[in-house]
Amino acid sequence: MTTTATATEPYPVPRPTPETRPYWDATARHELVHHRCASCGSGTQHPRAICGCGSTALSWALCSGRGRLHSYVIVHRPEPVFAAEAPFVLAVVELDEGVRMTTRIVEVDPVPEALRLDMPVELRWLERGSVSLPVFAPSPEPAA
Amino acid sequence: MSALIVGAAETDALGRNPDQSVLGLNVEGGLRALADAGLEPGQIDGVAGAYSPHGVAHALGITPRWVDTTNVGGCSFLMHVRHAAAAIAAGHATRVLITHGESGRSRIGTVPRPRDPQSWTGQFEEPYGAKPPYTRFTLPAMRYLHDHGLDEVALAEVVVAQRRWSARVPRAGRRDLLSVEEVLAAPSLAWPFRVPMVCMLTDGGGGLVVTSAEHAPAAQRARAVHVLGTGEGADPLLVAQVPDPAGSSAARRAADDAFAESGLTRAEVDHVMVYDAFAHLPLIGLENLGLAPPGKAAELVGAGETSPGGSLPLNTNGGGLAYTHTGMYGMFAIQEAVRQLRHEAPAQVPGARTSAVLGFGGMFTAAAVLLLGRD
Repeated sequence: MTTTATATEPYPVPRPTPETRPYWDATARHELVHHRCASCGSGTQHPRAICGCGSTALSWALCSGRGRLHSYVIVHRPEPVFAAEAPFVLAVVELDEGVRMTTRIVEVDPVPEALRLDMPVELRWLERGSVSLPVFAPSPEPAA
Repeated sequence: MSALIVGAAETDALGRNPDQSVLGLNVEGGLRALADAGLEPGQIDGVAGAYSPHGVAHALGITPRWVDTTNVGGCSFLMHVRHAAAAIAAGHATRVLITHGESGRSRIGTVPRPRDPQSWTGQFEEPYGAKPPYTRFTLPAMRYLHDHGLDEVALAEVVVAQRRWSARVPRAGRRDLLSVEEVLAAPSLAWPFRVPMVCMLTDGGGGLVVTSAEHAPAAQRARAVHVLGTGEGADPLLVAQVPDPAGSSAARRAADDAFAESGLTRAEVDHVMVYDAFAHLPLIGLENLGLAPPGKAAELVGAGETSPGGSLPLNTNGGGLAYTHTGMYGMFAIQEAVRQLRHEAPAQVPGARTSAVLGFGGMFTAAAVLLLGRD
C-alpha cells in the first residue's frame, strides 16, 4: 500500500464540484441529502445525470438520518494521517431511503462483538476543519 | 474467437527489484514474450498495456498500427487480450504485444498518485480513512460472509489452500504452509483481514503475444493457447454502491459472455485463476464464474477441492496472496493459465486443457473473463 500522507498532513477533506455542491452545502447545515429519481424512486448518495431507469427527473432530497449497518471493516493499520484514530470502524450504511454510503460507525467499541450487521444506526456529525462529515452511531432497535 | 496466445513470459525478477523502472519492467516483459514467441519487434504491429503502450512500443522499436491503453485496474490485461482478439479479427492488427510492468514495491519510475479531493473517492471515501485497498475492496466482505452464514475461518481457509500451491512454486513470494489457526493469529490490517489474507506488494512484469493462426510462427502452433471466450464489464465507481455484495455484476456478465462465446460448459473447466488481491475474492470469483453455487465456494475450498489434487484447482501459482502482486495482478493470472495449458507450470494440474481466468479491477469497479484452451 502506498501513500503520500505523513503524520503532519491535514486530514483529507472533500472539495465539492459543481455537481456535488448541494450535497456538501447541506452537510454544512447538518443535513444529509441524496439524489433521488422521481420516476422510479431509487436514490444514490452522489448525483447522477440520468437514472438507471432512464428518467432525468432527479433532484436532491433530505434523508431521515436512519439506516442499518450493511458491512464494515475495523481498520487497524490506517494511512498515517489517521493513525491516532485507529482502530476505527469503516462501514457501509444502508439508509432507510435505500441509499448506501461509505462512512464510519462512532460511539461504539471497535470490536466485532459490538458490530452486528443490520443493526440500526442514526446520523451523527464528524467535524473536520470547515467540513462536516456524516457518520453514524448505533441507535436503539425500533419498537416491533 | 480464433485468436491465439503464442508468446507469454514474466520478467526475470519478481518481488523486489530497485534496479528497474516501470518502463524497464514493461520492456523486459515485452522482450521476453517476443523471445518466447520466436518473433522480432518488427513483426509486431499492435501494442496494448495499462502503462504507456506507445512509450513501450517506441522503446522496443515497434511502430504500431493499433494501440489500446485501456486501464481499469488489475484486470486491464484480460481486456487487452479480448480487444486484441477483436482487432485481429477486424484486420486492424496481425500480431499484438501486451505488456505489464509495475514497481509496486520499489516505486521506481511510477506515476505519483496524489490525492484528488474533487474525485468521487476523494469526496465520499477518503475523508473517512478509506484509501488503502485493504480498507475499500474489503468493505463488502462481511456482508458476503454474513449473508451465507460464514465467518473469518472461510477467509483463512482460502489462504491455507493457496499456500499448498505456492509451496510448490519456486518463484512464489510466500511459500510457507499455514494452518487456519496461524492465519487467524496474524496481525489484522482491517479486521477481518489479516496480513496473509492481503496480497503481496512486489515489482515485476510480463508480456503476451496475441495473433491469429494465419500469422502464428510455425514453431509455436503446437504450444499455442486458444482464446476461446471473453467478456468484460464495469460496476459503480464507489464500493458502497456495488449492487450485489456477493461480488460483481460485471464479473457475472463477463463470465456469461465468455462462456456463451466459447461454447464451453462450466463442467469443462479444468483450471481456474481468480484475481485475489484479498482472500474473499476467490470465493466470490468462483460463484461469479458460475463454478460454485452462491455461498457454496467456501465449502469447496474447505474440502480441499481447490487445493492440489482437488476437482477445481484454483490459483495454482499461489495467487496474488502468495505468488506476486505488483498492484495490477491480471497479467500474472493469465501467465499461470498459459503455463498450465502448455503443461509447463511448476505445480502442474495433470492434463489441464481449459482454464477460466477472472480478473477484477479497481474496487469491484471492473471485471473481465478469459476462457483459454489447448487443442
